[in-house]
Amino acid sequence: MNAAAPRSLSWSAAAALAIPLLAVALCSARVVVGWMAGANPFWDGRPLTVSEAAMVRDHAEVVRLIHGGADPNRSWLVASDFSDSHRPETITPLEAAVQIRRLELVELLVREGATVDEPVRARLVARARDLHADDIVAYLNRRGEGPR
Amino acid sequence: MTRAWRAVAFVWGTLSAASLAYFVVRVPMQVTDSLANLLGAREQSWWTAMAGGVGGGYVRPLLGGELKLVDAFAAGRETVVYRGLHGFELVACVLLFVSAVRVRDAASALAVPLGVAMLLGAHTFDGTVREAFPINNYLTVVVACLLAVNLSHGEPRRWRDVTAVALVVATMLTVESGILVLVCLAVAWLTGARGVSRGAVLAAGVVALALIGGRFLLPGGGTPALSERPSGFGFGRLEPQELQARFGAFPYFFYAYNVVCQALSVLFAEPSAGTWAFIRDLLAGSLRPARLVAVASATGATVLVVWFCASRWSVWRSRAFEHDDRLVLVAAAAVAVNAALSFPYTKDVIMSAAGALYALAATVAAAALLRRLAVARPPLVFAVSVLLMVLSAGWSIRLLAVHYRVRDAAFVTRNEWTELDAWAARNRVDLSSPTRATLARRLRDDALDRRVPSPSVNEHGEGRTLVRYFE
Repeated sequence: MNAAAPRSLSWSAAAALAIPLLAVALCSARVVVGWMAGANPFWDGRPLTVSEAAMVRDHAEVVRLIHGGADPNRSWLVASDFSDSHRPETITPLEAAVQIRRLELVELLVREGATVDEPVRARLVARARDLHADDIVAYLNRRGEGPR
Repeated sequence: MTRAWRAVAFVWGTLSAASLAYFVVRVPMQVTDSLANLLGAREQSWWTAMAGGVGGGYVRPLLGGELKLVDAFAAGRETVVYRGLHGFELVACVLLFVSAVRVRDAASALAVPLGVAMLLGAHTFDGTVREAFPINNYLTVVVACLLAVNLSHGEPRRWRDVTAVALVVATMLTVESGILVLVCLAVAWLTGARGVSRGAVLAAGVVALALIGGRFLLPGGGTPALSERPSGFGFGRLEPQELQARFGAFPYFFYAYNVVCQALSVLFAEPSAGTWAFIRDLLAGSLRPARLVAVASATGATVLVVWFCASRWSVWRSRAFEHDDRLVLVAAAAVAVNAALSFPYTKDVIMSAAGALYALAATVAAAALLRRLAVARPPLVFAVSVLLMVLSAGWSIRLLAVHYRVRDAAFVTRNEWTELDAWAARNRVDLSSPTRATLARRLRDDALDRRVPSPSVNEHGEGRTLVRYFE
């Protein structure tokens, strides 16, 4: 067939084949051109606060921000599209970690310097109970004086 | 005009490869799978590094050797060197793929974009770009197989012979699926490709036999035990203990299951890693669009290849083979042998070389279809064009999806560095010495400095729908 068949082709079929792939190619071209121009297309997100990073489970960004000087014990703004209430909130990273029910993130924040004193612990335990985050309740209770 | 079409194909291949390479080089070095290997490469002698890959059912001395070699250039800039090598291998893979198609007219040039999408978007290719150890040896084998195909299809030259034999030896001593390089050379020669001589193919075959024989003579040689790793079976996954309990006395049924599943996985994207997830989710009413797209697009590619085989069958019976025929037959042999090699356990990435060669077969089949439609009746052309557009759309989604999944891998990998100490304790990796601590800290800091937006950011609103088509 290869040698015997005519070298022409069905252009309508070729177009049908090419159209979806051309759409992908435009995306690829944007990536490559942006890359060569020094931009970071499809990559760099907006800057996050520590609490926002916690809300989107970005453990590495939490650590990077804290190592860069961000205070893990103060309240930080969480933009409306990251918050469960869909309104801007100002919460601590630990509250954000409890909000998304991630024990490993609570542990990470404590390792990175977040303080769990008695008032903070009581507030976090109450919130974790509301969210049925039993593993977090157990962890926080272990850090306190006993189950409450 | 042929030159122009060839240039179009290579530009397309370069663009696609560079686009994915951009995402690949942004993945930080892994803690799991990479850090311990890096520490080993830095501290062990050449002999120890290579001997470490021999035993327990494996003969992979060059696995440690290659790592040692690259590490000689990587001290102090590990991420740049290893990620750069990964990106380079990816680009080489795509360019060798385009070269193997041998674009000679508009039809073959216009089939290349579909072929590249099939190569990069296949689920079997996923593991070659999402992870590294820190060199991805599966990708190395894919590159070696495509290089073998290119070597076979050219003017006979002594350098091709020498390169072909060296390629077989190097890849077989790196990972077991390296024998697929020999399969490519042998099938190409048997079907009339004379770029590599008969003597070179025979020499490579003798060396391969010696290596396979040597593997069985080594202490603990033979096949990996069932107790080594989990594997998919039926609608789920069995842990090593379960595998041992169920198949330990008579593992041959399990081996046969694995071989069949691995072959079907390339042809239909189902089962995946030995698990019939598409059927399971379909029956449960929880089928994700991504799985449907994968199965439909892979099946479409297989229909193309089957059509090509059927249309060429009468010519093949007279043992007359052209370039496109050879590519299809090489792919068929590679799928069979790669599946047979996978008998101990199933994993999609093990079939990456067969998947890449199968994409090559589907590419020439698509080109042949475009040529055939030039003389077909309009209603048939219209119907087939609609099907081709659906097929192309499916593979376009899969091509975009692999970019998304690589970015997801970057996010996960970066996060893993926050658990470095826990990982080291769990895997008994001592990081207390100053040199080890310095290397681990440097890699961790480098990973943390590579900002990767959380995929969760995209999972709100419209992004959530899109993601369902990607994973």
